[in-house]
Amino acid sequence: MNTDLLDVDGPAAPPRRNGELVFEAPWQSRVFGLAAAIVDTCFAGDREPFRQELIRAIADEPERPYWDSWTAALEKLVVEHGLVDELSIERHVAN
Amino acid sequence: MERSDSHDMSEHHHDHGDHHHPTPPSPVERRAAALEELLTEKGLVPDGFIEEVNRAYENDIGPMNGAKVVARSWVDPSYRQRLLENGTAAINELGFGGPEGNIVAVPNEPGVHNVVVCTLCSCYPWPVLGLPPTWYKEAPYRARMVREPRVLLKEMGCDLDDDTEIRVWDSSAEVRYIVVPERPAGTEGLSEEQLADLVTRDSMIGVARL
Amino acid sequence: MDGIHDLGGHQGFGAVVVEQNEPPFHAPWEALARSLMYLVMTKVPNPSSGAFRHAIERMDPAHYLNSSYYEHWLTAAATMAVERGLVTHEELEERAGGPYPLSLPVRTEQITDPPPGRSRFAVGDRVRVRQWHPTGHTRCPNYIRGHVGVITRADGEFSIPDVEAHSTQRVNEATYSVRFEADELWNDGQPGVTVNVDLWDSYLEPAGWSEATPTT
Repeated sequence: MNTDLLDVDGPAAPPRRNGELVFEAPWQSRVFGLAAAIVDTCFAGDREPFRQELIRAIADEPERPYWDSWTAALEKLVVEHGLVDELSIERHVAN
Repeated sequence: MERSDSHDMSEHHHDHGDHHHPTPPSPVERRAAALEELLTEKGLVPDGFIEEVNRAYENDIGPMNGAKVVARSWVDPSYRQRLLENGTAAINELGFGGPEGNIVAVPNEPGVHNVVVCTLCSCYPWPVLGLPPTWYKEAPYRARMVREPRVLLKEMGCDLDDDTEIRVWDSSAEVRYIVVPERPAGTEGLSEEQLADLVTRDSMIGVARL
Repeated sequence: MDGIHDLGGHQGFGAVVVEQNEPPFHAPWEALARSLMYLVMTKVPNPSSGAFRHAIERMDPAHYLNSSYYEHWLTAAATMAVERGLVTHEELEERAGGPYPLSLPVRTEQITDPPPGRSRFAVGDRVRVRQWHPTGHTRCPNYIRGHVGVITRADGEFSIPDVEAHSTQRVNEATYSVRFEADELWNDGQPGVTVNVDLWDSYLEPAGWSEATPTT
């Protein structure tokens, strides 16, 4: 399992309180785990492609909350790599 | 003044399948759920993987690394020897290393208690303990731990006998310290993994005993 | 530099507060700050951890004590960026929509011809910490200066911060762990406490004799 998906510091580092990770809602910890799963199964554990998307997502919208940017980055990554097509996501959300 | 270890201080909530959402899911939350469903349908999310990752991070990967090092040193005397002789190499054996990873392990023993501080800033052994807690980086801890460690440790909940020797380690150069706590009594039957679960971050900084 | 950051031994601070009510999520300004920090550390000529730390040490003392670790980091990055011409102070204040306090200027000369590093001591040697008060960056805390201790560990050679922060050159030198009795440091009779500090060779002077078998 990829145990270093998170940057310790730098622009792509997650919010922490007292040095510890903070998830404000269960969906955040799930989308975190989801990214770990995709990095593992589709990128052979190489976290760089996801990490680069995350940095881009944060830079694109600096005021967006961290886990929202995380979700956007993961979405973009899986769409770009043909794992899911964008329309499917829209349709799924609408239902 | 509160005294808590890494378990109590966590604000995580992992109640997946929460039935009492106070507000409807936000757009991003719906997208995250949609993504997970689609990727799971395509077989790209192994069974239980997300839960496993969350369990691993519940106590944060950082201190869990240190806990594994400590537990290994408890069950394997030759590993303990290597850890005390060359901390960096010993943590590398378990796959840990990286920036701020020039490690010296200082062992607690009967009558000896170690505690770590960085008076000049906030140097901390990232590869084995993750990111430092806020109190470690702030003025009161940095000022007082080298001046009155016995008093401050007691205030923080670590009450030592008067005849316990205290060794304070100020991380002023390139070495980063991890305290190896003593193995608690009554743990003879536990597995290495169970032992690791006992080791708190605060015990590896030295402001707590197990 | 005997700056506000050099906190070891200062009295007057109260309890260590173990839980803080800091917000876990980022305020909008932090996103800009993040990018700025990343930019500075990759784009600035001659970046060194010494220069970065010294930029924090040069913060106005009241600002330092009243701001968070993250704000220290940000202030240092912004200060270095302004000093090296990547951004102007005005640009920062405009983007932030308000005052943007920076650290105070460096008060020491650039070092152009540093002396070579040394490796004079061995485990067991009794040493005295130099009694000096450098105006630039150092990793020798004030609270041990002039005091006598024993070397208990030799940790290999590393770049001297005092040179690194103020020079384009780097000088490697031996580092040691030095054990001080707390009573010797504070003269208060507190028993059974040692304070062990990691120091570069040039922070030390010989103090006369060696311990045959030092106990850590």
